[in-house]
Amino acid sequence: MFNYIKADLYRLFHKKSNFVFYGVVFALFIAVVIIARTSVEGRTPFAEGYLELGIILLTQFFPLVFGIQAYVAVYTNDLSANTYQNIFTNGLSKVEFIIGKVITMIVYLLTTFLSGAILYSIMYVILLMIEDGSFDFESFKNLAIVSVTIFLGILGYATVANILAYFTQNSTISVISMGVLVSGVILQIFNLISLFTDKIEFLREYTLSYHMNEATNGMMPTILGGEASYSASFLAWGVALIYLIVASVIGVVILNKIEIKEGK
Amino acid sequence: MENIIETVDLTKRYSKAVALDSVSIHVRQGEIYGLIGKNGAGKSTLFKTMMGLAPYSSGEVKMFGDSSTSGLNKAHHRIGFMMGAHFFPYLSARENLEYFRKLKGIPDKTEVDRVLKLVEMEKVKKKFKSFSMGMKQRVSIANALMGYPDIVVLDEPINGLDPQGIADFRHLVQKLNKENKTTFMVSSHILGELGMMATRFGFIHDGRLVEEIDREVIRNKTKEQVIVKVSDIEKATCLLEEKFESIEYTVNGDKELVIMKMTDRTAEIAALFVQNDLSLYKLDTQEISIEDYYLQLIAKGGANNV
Repeated sequence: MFNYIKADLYRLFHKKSNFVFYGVVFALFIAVVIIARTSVEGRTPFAEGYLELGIILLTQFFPLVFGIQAYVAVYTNDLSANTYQNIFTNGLSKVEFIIGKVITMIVYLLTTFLSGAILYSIMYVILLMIEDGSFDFESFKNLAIVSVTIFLGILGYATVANILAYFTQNSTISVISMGVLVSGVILQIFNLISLFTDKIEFLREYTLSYHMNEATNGMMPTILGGEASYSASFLAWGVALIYLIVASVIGVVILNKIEIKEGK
Repeated sequence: MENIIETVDLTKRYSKAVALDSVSIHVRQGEIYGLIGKNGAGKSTLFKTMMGLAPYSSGEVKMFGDSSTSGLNKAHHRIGFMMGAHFFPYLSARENLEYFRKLKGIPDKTEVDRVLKLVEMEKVKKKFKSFSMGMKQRVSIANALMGYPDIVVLDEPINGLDPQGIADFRHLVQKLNKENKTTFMVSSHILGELGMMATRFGFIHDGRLVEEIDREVIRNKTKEQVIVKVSDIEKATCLLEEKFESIEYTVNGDKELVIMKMTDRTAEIAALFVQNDLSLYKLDTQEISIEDYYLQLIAKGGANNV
């Protein structure tokens, strides 16, 4: 299994387009911050709003952009390249493959999250220096908690999307399913159905989307200077881990039963 | 001789269709096993079930004498496998093989260079997505050869290779088989090429293993042909039927006779024609090719009838 993780990380960090993607995203972020900072010159300190911007970016932007990119890079590249045959005929069991992929996803996401966090922090320190402000440790703690929530949420969504990925062995379907999950469409569907009937309303609290949403709502008051509520975040972490484990077990069962497609 | 790969009554069904019907193959150590069958005969399905890529309906797969799940997983570490050419398009050949070197746990970092040299791809720097089909096949063959596996299983390896590439591939297989004692199992629907390479054959047709036979046994079982070209075919056939009981022959065109199983009596045949004033333009002996043997096997419905 560790050989597989080493190989997969080698692949990911030799894919030039990954670096280009994050380079562009980070460059855009820097540009946006500079433009926003220069447009608020002389008014309220930008550094104060910068931390709230971080929470908005984490909750609205990260899952869709970083989450889907990571999912494509880690999981669906194998499907689009049809490399499952080569991978599974080298003595790697399905269990090792799935656990290996989770670990690879964790390492890859950590790398991207940390890179983003370092850039964000550097920009924050520069802003503080310009505005002669003081470091807001409380807000950074809230950001860290939101980061962990989003991190675990992406992991949980990825393993659920993989159920369909393994079954269909189709990269397009798996990316679409990941997009549907991280965008909160599941909750929207529940909202729509609740207009007509409340018979399945009880299922809402079992969805990861519900708990991710509750966790986000719990942290949003900090944007307006209010108190954060951490209990929903901690509960979301637990639900995400349960989803990760259950979806992984289902993934193993599916992979052991299906025929690996030959590819064109 | 030990069986490295063995299937016992392996059956694979897709709903009502039977893709493999009680197939029992025996791949022995040190041989080059040619699995021959037309497109859709079940060659790839057999490989997929053997290598754990598809579940099978009944039967057993044994590798190195072990049929347990853990045993088969361990066995895969000793097998080089090629089915198609599926690699990451954004990586070069070297990077793709480096990925699989790490995956296979091969510690020797020079292994990638070694196998790329074997398939003459060591100087290619461009990304896999820019490769021709022949180049992709070469990378796939190189991947299967990495790590000095005990047995190399190749599904249609010569597809997409040019004539030189096919000849190079044949020489490479024979060289590795001879020098490293590597066992090969190669499938193809191109009988001529496989016929030149393999030491043992498995003929598969419509999901059934029709026959499994050594090259030497084929040679002994089938007799050579005598090709004769004469001035008067009608007279020649009458003379042959008068002189030889139960002679088998076919007529090609208006001047050529193909006589089965009489290669040790060419002198008699020649004398017969000459003594009866027939002009003899050609008299030659010819071994039946694997292709002919396979086609006769399929046409006549099985090994017992050839």
